[in-house]
Amino acid sequence: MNETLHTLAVWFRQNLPMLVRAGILLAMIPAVHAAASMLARTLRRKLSPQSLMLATKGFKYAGTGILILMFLHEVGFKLMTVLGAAGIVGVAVGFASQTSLSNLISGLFLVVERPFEVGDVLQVGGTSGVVHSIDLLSVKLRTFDNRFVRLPNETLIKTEFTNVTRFPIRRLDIDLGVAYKEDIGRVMRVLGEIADRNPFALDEPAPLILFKGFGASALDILFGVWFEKQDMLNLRNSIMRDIKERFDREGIEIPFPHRTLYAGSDTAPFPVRVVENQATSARPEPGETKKGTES
Amino acid sequence: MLWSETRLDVDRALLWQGGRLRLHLVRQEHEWRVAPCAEQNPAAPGLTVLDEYPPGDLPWRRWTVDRTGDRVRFEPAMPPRPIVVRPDSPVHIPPRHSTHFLVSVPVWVRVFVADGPAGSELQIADEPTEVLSNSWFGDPTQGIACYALRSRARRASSELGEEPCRAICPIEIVNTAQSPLFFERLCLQVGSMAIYRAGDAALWADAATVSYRGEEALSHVSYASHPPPGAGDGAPRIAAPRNPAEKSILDRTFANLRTFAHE
Repeated sequence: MNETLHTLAVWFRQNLPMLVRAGILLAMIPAVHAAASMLARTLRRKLSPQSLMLATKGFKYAGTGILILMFLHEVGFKLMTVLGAAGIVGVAVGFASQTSLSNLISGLFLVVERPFEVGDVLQVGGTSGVVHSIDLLSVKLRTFDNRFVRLPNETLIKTEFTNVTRFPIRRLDIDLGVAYKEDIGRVMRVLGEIADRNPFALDEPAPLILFKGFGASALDILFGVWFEKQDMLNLRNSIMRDIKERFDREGIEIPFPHRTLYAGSDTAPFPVRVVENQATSARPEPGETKKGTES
Repeated sequence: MLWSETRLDVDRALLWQGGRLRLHLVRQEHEWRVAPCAEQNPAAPGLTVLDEYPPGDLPWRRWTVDRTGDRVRFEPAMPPRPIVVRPDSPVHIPPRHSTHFLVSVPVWVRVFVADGPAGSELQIADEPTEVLSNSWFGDPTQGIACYALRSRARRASSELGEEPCRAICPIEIVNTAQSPLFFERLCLQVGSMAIYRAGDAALWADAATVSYRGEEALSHVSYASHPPPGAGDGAPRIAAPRNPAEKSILDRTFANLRTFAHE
């Protein structure tokens, strides 16, 4: 026992400088993470959230990797052997984890192509949300009802998605229907005035007011109003209310879907009359069979 | 006087009205309360110390301080975004010719209150006296957010009239290019303009000179730093520019209307 302790003490005394250097290198890993945080704070106003995240993560991972390699070298590992072994292991792991590798490479393509950035609003299939982070294997979205959605990078490379907030202005398209009796010119003029008076609707580009055609129950109109992307909710709430109030005031009818029963060009429409008392008396009592229906 | 300094005792309120804005202000011992309300119709401009407290259901904003001072100052400011200006109808300006226009721009009101005994001030409000419609200058993919003016650029100040909550901006457009300039609309960085008071009611802004240098080149825009001729030489400057650094800039200023294809 004493001999073991003595050997350990001798080894410790002989390797003390190496152990100190290795300890310092390990202790520098938290320092690199702290430096990454300081870098993030310094560059926050100069870089976009996406670039800031890439810069911070790149600094943190590269710094940590270099420190680990230096530590291994310090404690006596032959780095070339380690790296060679890592290559062989990498090939083996690569075959076993093709999906992860595919996601990894897709992630690199997404970083280079930059179809979206952290903070953009994405629509992927039936999911919409704000890009929370872009990582090596996946993109994380935060939906508007505050759920966390993970999208594999490979999926984003393969499928169609929409970056809703890529451009600074957007158009809100509202499908409207007005009754056939309405003067379509007057309706279009009223819509122009509604857009003109709404402070969230952009004056330029001018709103699009398009008479789309003759619908089943109404004259169909497309009312497209441009807005700054951050005004989406304000515009949608205010312009819908403006349309309803102004149409009510102007007496412009928004018809609900209806159907006319008609037997042909030579006949008059069926006369329909509802008489409350007769309808009530004609209704059979429970258990009673109507005359004329007995067999 | 609408743009002036006044005194307000503790636990008293005042009402400032100008353009389409009604702004209530209450001073308490440790708190300022300010409530801006946009109105549909213009109100008679004025500043009134109220006998009673304003209603509690106004959109109040509160500023708590160690101790409130008794001074309140109302200062006009040009809009925080550029303004898109249009003439009555499009104008052609031949090469080496210039033209003058005047534009009437609704101002913002800034409210400053005394912040301690040292004479320093605290800004507690910056509100439009008229809500301007948003507009966009440039392509839908890149451009700048602006405000649209309902009033058009005119040739004479008599066509604009003098209003206490609108500043008249003189604009000179010089065509230094080899081709005629088709002036349909112009983006004016009004944040670089100071405001001057002429007489009792009229406000004037720094004159802007826009040099058009061709369709592909950026226009050179410069802003004078003295009262415009219409305001008179001795017109006092009552407000500094919002963005004082930008007195001479190269900017994309002119644009012709474009149509956007329906998708």
